[in-house]
Amino acid sequence: MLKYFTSRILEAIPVFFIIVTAVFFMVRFVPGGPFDKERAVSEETLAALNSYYGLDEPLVVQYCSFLKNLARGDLGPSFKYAGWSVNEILREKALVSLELGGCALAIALVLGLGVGFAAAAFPSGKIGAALSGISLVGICLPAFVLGPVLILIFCLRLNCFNAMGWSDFPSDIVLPAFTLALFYAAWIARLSRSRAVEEKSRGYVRTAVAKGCGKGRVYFVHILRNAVEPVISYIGPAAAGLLSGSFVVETIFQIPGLGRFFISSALDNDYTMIMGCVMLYSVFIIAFNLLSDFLLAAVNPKIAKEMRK
Amino acid sequence: MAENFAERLKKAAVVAAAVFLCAACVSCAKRETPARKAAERGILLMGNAADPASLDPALSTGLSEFKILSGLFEGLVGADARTLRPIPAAAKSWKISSDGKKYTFYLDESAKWSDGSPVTAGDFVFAWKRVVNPKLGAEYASLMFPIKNARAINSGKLSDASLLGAKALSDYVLEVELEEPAPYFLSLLYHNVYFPVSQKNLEKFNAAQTRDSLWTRPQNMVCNGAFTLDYWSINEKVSVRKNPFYRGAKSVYLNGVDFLPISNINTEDRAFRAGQLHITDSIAPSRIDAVKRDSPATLRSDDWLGVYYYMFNTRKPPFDDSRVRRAFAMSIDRRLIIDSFLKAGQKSAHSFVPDNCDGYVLDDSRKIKYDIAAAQKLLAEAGYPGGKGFPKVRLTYNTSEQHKPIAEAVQQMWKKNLGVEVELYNLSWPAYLAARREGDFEIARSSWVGDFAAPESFLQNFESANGLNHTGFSDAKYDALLRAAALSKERAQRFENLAAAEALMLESAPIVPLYFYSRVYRISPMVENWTSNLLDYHDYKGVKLNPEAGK
Repeated sequence: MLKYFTSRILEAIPVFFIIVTAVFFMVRFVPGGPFDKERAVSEETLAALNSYYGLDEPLVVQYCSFLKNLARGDLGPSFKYAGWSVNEILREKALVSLELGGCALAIALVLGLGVGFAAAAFPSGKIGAALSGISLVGICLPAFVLGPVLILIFCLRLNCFNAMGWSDFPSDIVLPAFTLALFYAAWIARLSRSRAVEEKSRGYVRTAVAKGCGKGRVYFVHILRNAVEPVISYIGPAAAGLLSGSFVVETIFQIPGLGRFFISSALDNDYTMIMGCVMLYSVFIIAFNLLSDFLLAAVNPKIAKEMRK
Repeated sequence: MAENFAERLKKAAVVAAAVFLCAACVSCAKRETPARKAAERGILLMGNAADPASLDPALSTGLSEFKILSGLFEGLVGADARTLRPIPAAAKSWKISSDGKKYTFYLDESAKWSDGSPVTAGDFVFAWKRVVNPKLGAEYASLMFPIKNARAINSGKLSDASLLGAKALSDYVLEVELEEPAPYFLSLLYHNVYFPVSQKNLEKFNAAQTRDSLWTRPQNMVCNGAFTLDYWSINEKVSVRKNPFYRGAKSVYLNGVDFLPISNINTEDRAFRAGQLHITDSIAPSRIDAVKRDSPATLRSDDWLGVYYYMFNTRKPPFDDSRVRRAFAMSIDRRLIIDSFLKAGQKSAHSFVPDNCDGYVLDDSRKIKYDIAAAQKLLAEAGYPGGKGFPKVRLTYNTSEQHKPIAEAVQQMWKKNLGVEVELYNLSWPAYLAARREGDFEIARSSWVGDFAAPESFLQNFESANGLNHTGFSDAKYDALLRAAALSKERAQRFENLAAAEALMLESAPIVPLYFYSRVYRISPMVENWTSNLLDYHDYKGVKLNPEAGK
């Protein structure tokens, strides 16, 4: 098992470097530069800026210097925010996104698994149909519609929460976390429902019932354990997306997280910030896929056995 | 067994729903809004469209930064909150030499930095030398070019910064020498690049020649304005609080201002409606009708020193022919665009400089007219009667919800009125700027907001050597008229030269002005003494908050 995970981590290193290298060169070929402004910048000023940020060096030299700094954990200064380093911005903003994404992930799991297994418990009744319908709505309802609707109801009509901001805890987290979670909850519900329905007709379930196991025990101990497998596979990349921040939700609720930097850094041609965002997301994707493999091995001994080979 | 299980699940669902309802009822009790709570504490909550990229006066370039910096720093000269006429600020008085090239400023000796040390003429000289230092790479250093040797130092042609035409004759007397007379020089002085910085403080943080310094952080920044920096978190908030060392602290009513960088206008509008803001930065045109109907008292539309226009690339056919350009400029119904998309009573633009900019007005007879018949005639004279044979051209604009419908409307007007096909081409902001800079366009959207309240802030953009002149328009007579205006001793003579230059440029029509900007926003009744002016410059010192007014 350890050998499997070690090999996966070793495989991830070149993948990470390919991503980083590709993005490093791609951003430099995008039209426009990081210091383009509506007001014309004099050639001398532009030269001074390029020299200060090392952009007057040949690309290969810039790349080597980037790798050298990366080895020291230094992602460099933000080109847009003078006086701020990318490390500092990522550290501060990633914490907000982690907090929001963590809550959204918890809501998505609780709501998704709850609805999914409840729907599977009544596969042919009205309750099951209603729950499946709810999960379908969750998939179809985009965050840019759900968020404003929730604000309209809970902030502007009922006056329960703030319409935006990130200062009043825990109330400021409720609506954005729910908005962010609903889509993922809906997918988890559908995945867990279909697998749970499938598992219910398996022989081991009939055997457990025949041996006198209570329905609740059969359902929550035997069926649930197997039915979470597709959810675990799904939740790996989903968690990376949730925890690294969402542009849409952070914009709707004015949350000072990392999600908006994924777009704004690209629009501003803030090269160092783009690299920081891409690297963070790559690390998240790799780490959560590994974690999801680890959890799959934990719930399914067959998978663990295959990993040991 | 199955029934029992189902029953248990149903009961659990009912209990969960009851708990949720109780929790909702408890939390839905009437809350006091954040705006009212802040008003009680004397804190103004302002929407600020963009996140400040820097709070260093030398490096800041945008209006969102200026809004904050104007509270933190005070230049030599302030601006009257209504008329924008220069008024004493850090300098209590000044003297201008008879040739208009030498200014002597006498500083207010009671002016202090927020660390209690005096604001001296040396701090101004240090700050200005820093701006023109080529190593700093200050994007707005060109605003200092009226000062003697500023351009030469900034371009590296002169390495001795002490030759800058700004000298501290004593701690409280500053002498500024200009390259040539600049009648608008006093108006320039309330731009943030002219703000002083504390030499002692910047040297402490090694910020004299570097962009990346920690001196602009709340715990480090030393200011001389009515407020000091209290909190700054990117994408979250900038808070400023009353500066007890400010010379006029007793007449400052506010205890602080929170600037919230809300980039999405719909988010900002919802925040205002939920009582989280006193003032928004703007409002979506689609909301204006509803606000006019439901709460008109909260809607404000102020004239703003900006113009929205299209520009032609005069280097390339078919727009190398001024008849074609004028035909395009004369066939747009600007009023229809304003009424259909902007909805806030903006003024249609038939000239480039907004009317009443420092009292300057261009006579109507010299402006571009809306005259379809004349436009069709001009196009026919240029060889394209009814648009026949006219090549397909592109209108380039940067991606935006606002630019697209305007571009579509103009496209239709040109098709209907002139019979020409124009293709719309949208680009991301950096790609659009690159296309403009490289002349890779036929028609491009553009806009300009004046840096200072004088017609020169607009008309200098079309001087032959100006870096903003992407149109290719170049006319020696135009350049000479602007120079003559600079040398004019009388205001009327100066304005006549400027008007002649503008008329000349409009006759050639390298641009199509569409409308003059208005600052359209919402303001809570709690805010008192909020004045408006063409530069959207606000003197927070006189603003008062009345929490009772919003009840």
